[in-house]
Amino acid sequence: MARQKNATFVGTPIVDVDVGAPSFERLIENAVGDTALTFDKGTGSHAEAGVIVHDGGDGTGALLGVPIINQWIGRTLVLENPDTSGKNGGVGDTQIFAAPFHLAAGETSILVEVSMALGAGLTPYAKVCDTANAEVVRADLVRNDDEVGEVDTLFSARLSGITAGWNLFFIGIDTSEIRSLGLSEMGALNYVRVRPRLRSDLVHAPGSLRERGAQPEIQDAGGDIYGVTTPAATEGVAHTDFEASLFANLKSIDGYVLSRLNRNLNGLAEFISGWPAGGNTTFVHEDQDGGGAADATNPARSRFEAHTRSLYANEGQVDFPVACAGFGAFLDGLDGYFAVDLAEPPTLGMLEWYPPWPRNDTEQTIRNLFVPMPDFQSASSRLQCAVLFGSTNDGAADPTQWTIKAKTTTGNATHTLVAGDDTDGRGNLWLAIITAVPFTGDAGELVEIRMSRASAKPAGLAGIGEICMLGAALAFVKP
Amino acid sequence: MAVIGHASLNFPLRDTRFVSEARGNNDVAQSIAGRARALYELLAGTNPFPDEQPATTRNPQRNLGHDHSGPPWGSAFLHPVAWWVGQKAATATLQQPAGLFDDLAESSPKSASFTFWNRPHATLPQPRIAPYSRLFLYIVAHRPTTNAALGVRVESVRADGSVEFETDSITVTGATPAGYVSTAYLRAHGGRNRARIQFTAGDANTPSVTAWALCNVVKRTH
Repeated sequence: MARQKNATFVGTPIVDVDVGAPSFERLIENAVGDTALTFDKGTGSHAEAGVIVHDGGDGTGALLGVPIINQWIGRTLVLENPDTSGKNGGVGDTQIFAAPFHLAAGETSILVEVSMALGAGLTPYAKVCDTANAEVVRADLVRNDDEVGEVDTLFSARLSGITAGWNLFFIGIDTSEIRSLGLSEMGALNYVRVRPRLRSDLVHAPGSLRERGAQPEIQDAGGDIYGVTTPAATEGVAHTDFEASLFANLKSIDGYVLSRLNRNLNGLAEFISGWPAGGNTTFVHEDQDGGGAADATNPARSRFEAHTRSLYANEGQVDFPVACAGFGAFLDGLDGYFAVDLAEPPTLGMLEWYPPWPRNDTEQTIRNLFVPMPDFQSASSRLQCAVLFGSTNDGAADPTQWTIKAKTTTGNATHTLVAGDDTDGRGNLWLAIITAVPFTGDAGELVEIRMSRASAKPAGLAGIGEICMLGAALAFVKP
Repeated sequence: MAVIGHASLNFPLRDTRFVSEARGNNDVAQSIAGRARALYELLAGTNPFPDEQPATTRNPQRNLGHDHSGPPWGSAFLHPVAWWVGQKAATATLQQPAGLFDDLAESSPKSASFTFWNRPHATLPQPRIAPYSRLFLYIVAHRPTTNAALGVRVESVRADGSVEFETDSITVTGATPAGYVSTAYLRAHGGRNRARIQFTAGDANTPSVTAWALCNVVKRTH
C-alpha cells in the first residue's frame, strides 16, 4: 500500500479550476500528493532527501540573509610614532580589523559598511581571504555620505566571489600613506557591519503587490474558524496520509479526503508561517514540554518549522551565524610586524586599539559574550567557534603550545593549535576552529574564549609576545 | 499551466464546507489547489513553475519563501543582533588597551552610539509585536567587592533625532563576569537602526561591563 505523495511538485492546471470546470479527481489526487511532499520536506519525514536547509537551492529553502558582523568598537586609531621603522610598530599595511567569519551555504557576496573618522588621503580596503590566507577578493572602502546623525563617515564595499564556509575578513589601511602624509592620528573606528547582500538591496521600488511582501491578518469575525487538527503528543504537526489507491481511476472522492486535506493545508500553514492559519485569532499549535504542558523555551515538542529536530529527527539543519568580532589592529607584514611594539605596556603603534596578548601560560578568559542561542538540536552540536591569532615568527615562538577553549554555560570544547593551523605557513596568522561547542537552545549562554599554554613561555618571549587574539566568530555549521 | 488564482494562504476553508451534502462549489477546488502551491513555495522558496509568476508574495528580503524573520515568514530564532565585546583583566595576565566600560563611576555615564543592521521583517497586527521589533540587552558584568547597581538605558534614535528609550537597573552580584538579561529593549525596525546604549553606576561600587549584545528573544510574537 503506497502513500500518496508526489516526488516533485505537480500543481493543478488552470482549466481544472476554472468556473464551470468538472471536479476532476486528479485535482484532489495532485493536491494530496503535493501537500504530502511539502510536509515531508518541512519535517524530513519518510526519508525525504530534499529537506529545507535554506541554502537558496532549488526547493531547499530561501537564504536567511542573517547579518554576520554588527559590532560597535568605539576606538580611536592613533598611530604613535608613524615614522618608526623596524620590526614592530608602524610599517606596512595595518589591519584595523581581522576576524574569521562563516558565510552560509548559498551566499557568495557580502556588503561591508564601516563607520570611521579617517584622515583625507587614506584609502581603507576590505579583504576576504580563505583559511589559507590566500586573498579571495579585495575592494577599496568607498566614502559615502554620512549616516544620519553620525559624526563619522560611512565607508562601504561589496565583495563577491566568496566561497561559503569559514573565511577570513580584514579591513586594512596602507600605513605608509600615513607616514607620507606626516600624520600620526588616523582617526577613529566606530562600528563595523558585514552582511550577505540581499535581493532587497537591489529592489528598492515597492513594485507590484507581489514585491511588497505579505502582511499577516487577523480575521475580525468568528474567532478561530479555520480548522487545524491538534497534534498528538508525539506529533509536530497533525498530518493525515492517504493511500494512493484512494485515487485510482473512476474511484470517487469522498468528504473525508477533502476535509482532511483541508486540515492538512491549514496545519501546514501554521507550522511553516508561524502564524495562525487563515487569520484565526489564536494558534492551535503549541510548543510543549515532554509532559504535554505549554513550554516555549527549548521545547521537547516544537510544533513549528524551526529546525529544532525536537520531534523530527531528519529535519533540515541550517548554517546560522551567531556573532563575529575583531579585537584590535595588527600588521601582517612579511617579518611578523605588529600594530604595537612588544613592550609592556606598548609604546609604539596603535596604542588604543590593539588585540589582547596573554602574558602568562595559565588559562584565562580573553573575550566573552552573553547571548541567547537558537533552539537547534544540541545532542550533536553544530556550533563552532573560530579564533584568529597573530604571532611573531621569531624562532622561539611556538603557538602549538596553546590550547583554545570555547566555554559556555552548558559546557566547553577545546582545540590545541597544530602546525596545520598556521594559515599560510609564515607563522604570522593562525586559525583555530573549535567544533561541537556545547550549548542549550533558547537559553542565554555566557560564551568565554579562553587560552592556556602547555608550558611557560620561552625566555625570549616572556610577557607579551608570541601570540595575540585578533578576532573570533561563533556560527552553526550544517553538515 | 498551474494555478495562481486563490493561492493566498488567507483564503482557507472552514470545516463546514466539507460536511455531508455540502455543495461542491468551484472555490473549494481553487482554494485547495492554490493553497497547496502557496505552501510549497512558502516552504521551499522556489516557484515550481518558473515560466509563470510565483503564487506567493516575496519575503521581507524580496526572495521567495520563508526566511525565519518572524511570522508569517516562519518562526524567528533567538540570537544576538548587535554587540560589543571586551574583557577586563589585570595587565599582569592580559595586555590590552583599557576597557571602555571598566569601573563605572556614579553619575558618570558611558555610552555607545552606533547604527546596526536589523533583519527586514513583517510587522504584525496589534496587539502582537514582531520578534525583531524588540531587541533586548544581554550584558556581561562584574563588580570588585560589593554588589553594585548598574543603570542601563537603551535608546532608539529616529532620523529626525527624536528618541525612544527604555531603562533598567541591574544588581551586579558577581566578582567574576556573569551574564545579565536587562528588561530594557530597543524598538527596532528592519534595516538600519540608530541606537545608543548607556551604562551608569548606580552607587559607588564601580561595576564593570565587559560585553553586551542586543538580542532577539522571541520566536513568533512579543
